[in-house]
Amino acid sequence: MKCRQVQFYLTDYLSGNLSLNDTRDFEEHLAACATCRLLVQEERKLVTTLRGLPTPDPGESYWSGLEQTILEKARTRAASNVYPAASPQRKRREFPWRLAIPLAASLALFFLSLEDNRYLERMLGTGFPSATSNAGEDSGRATYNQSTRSGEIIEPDFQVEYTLLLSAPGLAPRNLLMVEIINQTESEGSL
Amino acid sequence: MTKDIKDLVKGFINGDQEAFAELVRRYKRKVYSLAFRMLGNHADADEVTQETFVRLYEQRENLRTVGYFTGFLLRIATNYTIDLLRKRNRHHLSLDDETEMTLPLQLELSMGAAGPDKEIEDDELGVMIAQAIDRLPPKQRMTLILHDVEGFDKTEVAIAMGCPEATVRSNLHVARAKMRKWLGKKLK
Ligand SMILES: [Zn+2]
Repeated sequence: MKCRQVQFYLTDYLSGNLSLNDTRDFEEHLAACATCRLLVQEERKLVTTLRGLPTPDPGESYWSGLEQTILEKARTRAASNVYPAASPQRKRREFPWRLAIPLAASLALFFLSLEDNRYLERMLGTGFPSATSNAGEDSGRATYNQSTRSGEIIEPDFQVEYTLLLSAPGLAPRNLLMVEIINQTESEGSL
Repeated sequence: MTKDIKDLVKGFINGDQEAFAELVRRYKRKVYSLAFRMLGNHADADEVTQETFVRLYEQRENLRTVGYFTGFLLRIATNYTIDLLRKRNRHHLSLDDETEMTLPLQLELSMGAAGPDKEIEDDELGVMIAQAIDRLPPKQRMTLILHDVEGFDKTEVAIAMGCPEATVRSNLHVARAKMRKWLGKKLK
């Protein structure tokens, strides 16, 4: 294993997700390379400290009332969704039919009076350019099967579909990659 | 007495209010903690916590087809947190912006309120780490907080962030490398 691979496998090594073979290679490299030993040591200390950061806690008085508050809010919102609040009655505007015929007549006169009927031509779409293609946008789909360690899978074949949207040239690759889970769970609005 | 999550989720979907209350009880601290670490103050963390569970309640039907409760819940929380973060930092256009963000750092204040099970040996390092986390751009910060601080696995983080696991891995890699660089000698 090379130093670069050690960097690549660092996260998996520390979380114990490396295969036996890879772990052996990894540790063989460490035995021979002081730089990587130091890297692993620092990363381990970082991860341990991160994991041990104190949990923000507003205190028991906050926690004790929270379930009730949430439950009430949820019910209220659910109720307002089932029975949508009556929106103020809007008076439907009548189309002014009485004016329709005189209006149509004057418009006709207007167009007929134009030389070469150029306006009519343009309005009927004869000279319109065709719709531009959505250049710069390219999309592909990939389907992933995933499972968690905590094993709380209800449906065994849960699939997450990702749509990769590549757009706007000139941006860094990281910015080009917009990934979305597009299954029906996505009703909460876009990120 | 202690029902497993699977049963609670089933009960919740089928309209059991007590199951919902129990889910709130079990996950409220995780959601609050995540939001607080991202937004840095109680009012916003409270808003995220309440809104996340209210939305969970609204979207419970969708849980029928979803495999992971935790990922689903975290996704709602993450979305709302990032929305709030955006509102609070309007001048920052991109969430991937490399510009280091500084939020009012109130994490230090919360240090005193830490539970006995989460002692850290080196308080000074803890404070420095909290400050360094705040310097990370939002998506790297979110990834680091979810995975390294809160301890969710990569699959859960991927669902929460709406990205492939490879992206979680690379965000984590970059975030940790920056942290190591900023903390320098302190980690030696
Ligand atoms: Zn090396």
